[in-house]
Amino acid sequence: MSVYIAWGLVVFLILSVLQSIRRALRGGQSRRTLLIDAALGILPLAVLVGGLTTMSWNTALPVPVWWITAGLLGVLAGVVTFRVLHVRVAV
Amino acid sequence: MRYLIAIAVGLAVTAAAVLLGPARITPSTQHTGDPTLAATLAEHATTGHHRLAAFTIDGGETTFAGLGADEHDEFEIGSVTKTFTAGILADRGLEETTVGEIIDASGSDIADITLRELADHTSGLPRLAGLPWWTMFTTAVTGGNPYAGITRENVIDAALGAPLSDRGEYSYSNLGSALLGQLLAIEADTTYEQLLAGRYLEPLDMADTYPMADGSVSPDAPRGLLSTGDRAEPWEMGGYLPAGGLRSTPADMARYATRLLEDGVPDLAWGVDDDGTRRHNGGTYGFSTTLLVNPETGRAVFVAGDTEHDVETVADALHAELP
Repeated sequence: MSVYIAWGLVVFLILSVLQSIRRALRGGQSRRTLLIDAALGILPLAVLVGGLTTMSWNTALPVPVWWITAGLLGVLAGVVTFRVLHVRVAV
Repeated sequence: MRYLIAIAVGLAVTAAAVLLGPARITPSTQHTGDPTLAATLAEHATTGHHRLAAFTIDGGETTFAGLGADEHDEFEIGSVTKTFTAGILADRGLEETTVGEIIDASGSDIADITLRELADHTSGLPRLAGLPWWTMFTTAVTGGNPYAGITRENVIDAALGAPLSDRGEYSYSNLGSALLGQLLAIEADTTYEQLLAGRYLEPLDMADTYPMADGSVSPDAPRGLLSTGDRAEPWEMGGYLPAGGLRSTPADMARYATRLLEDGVPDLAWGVDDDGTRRHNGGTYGFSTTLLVNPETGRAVFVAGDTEHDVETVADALHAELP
């Protein structure tokens, strides 16, 4: 995987997670929608991990970029957890 | 309460991602061997490198150096193995022999492919076949061995059933190289390991070089580092062995390079620079290597590292700085 593709993927992942965080913060969705949205948001992570582990992340991207990504994943997990606990099951 | 749970989950996810994610890996500061060459290695080593070992050959003189490793340390040389396979092919003079002349390939697209095409990556075979795609994915994440359990028969069956594309054009194929090695063994009525031993390992006294057949790597043999800092599993490649399954030391590789400088480099498998330097690199989960050989100038350079971080730029730098 080239360095350019690696950067493209990580930028896409970060934007995708930010978008999921924004939607989760906005609220108003059902629990199911929240979870699906979060799962779709982190989907690029699968491609990124699968692709980047075939080469050293250190060679393609600075390790701190991963720490930023990890922080955003934590924010998304926290926000979604908060919303899921808050949302009442629709009847 | 909801806030506390959400914060706890967020922190847990972040901590897990950081712990399971890539680690900052830096070159060893322990110099070994020739001080000047070790200093040059250190100058060109970067974040992502860990233990490095190298040699240069110039005018018949071999110089070893390393960072945290020396010429007797074991490394997986990955696809540099293909140069051994190509050497066996040249030695046996079977370049124009076709697949169908060695095995029953009737009805297969590969029947009339020559062994030269397999060595030169112009056969049109895909890069890999016979390995489940999920294995490639999961082992990439875990640092496991993607080639575990693949037999000679698996490689041949995969090649016989593989679609060809752009035959005649260069398209790097591990499948083609693996098939080549196995066909050479079948033609000689032996195993690839025996062919290798007879052609290179025994005549050149490469006692610390061995093919990673299933179960051959001892538990205390060196393991390379993944980008996470975890240890990678050795690539015991089974049927794919001729494409990248050798472990060696810089001392043994110096014997191999010296032989290439003396006898010439087969016009197969190697990349050729404008100045006539032949090059091949190799990589496995946990190791990276590069070998440069120029019979015209009598110079050779080898660099091996125990991470996946490419060492080709380091080898090029050592080559360029030879006096």
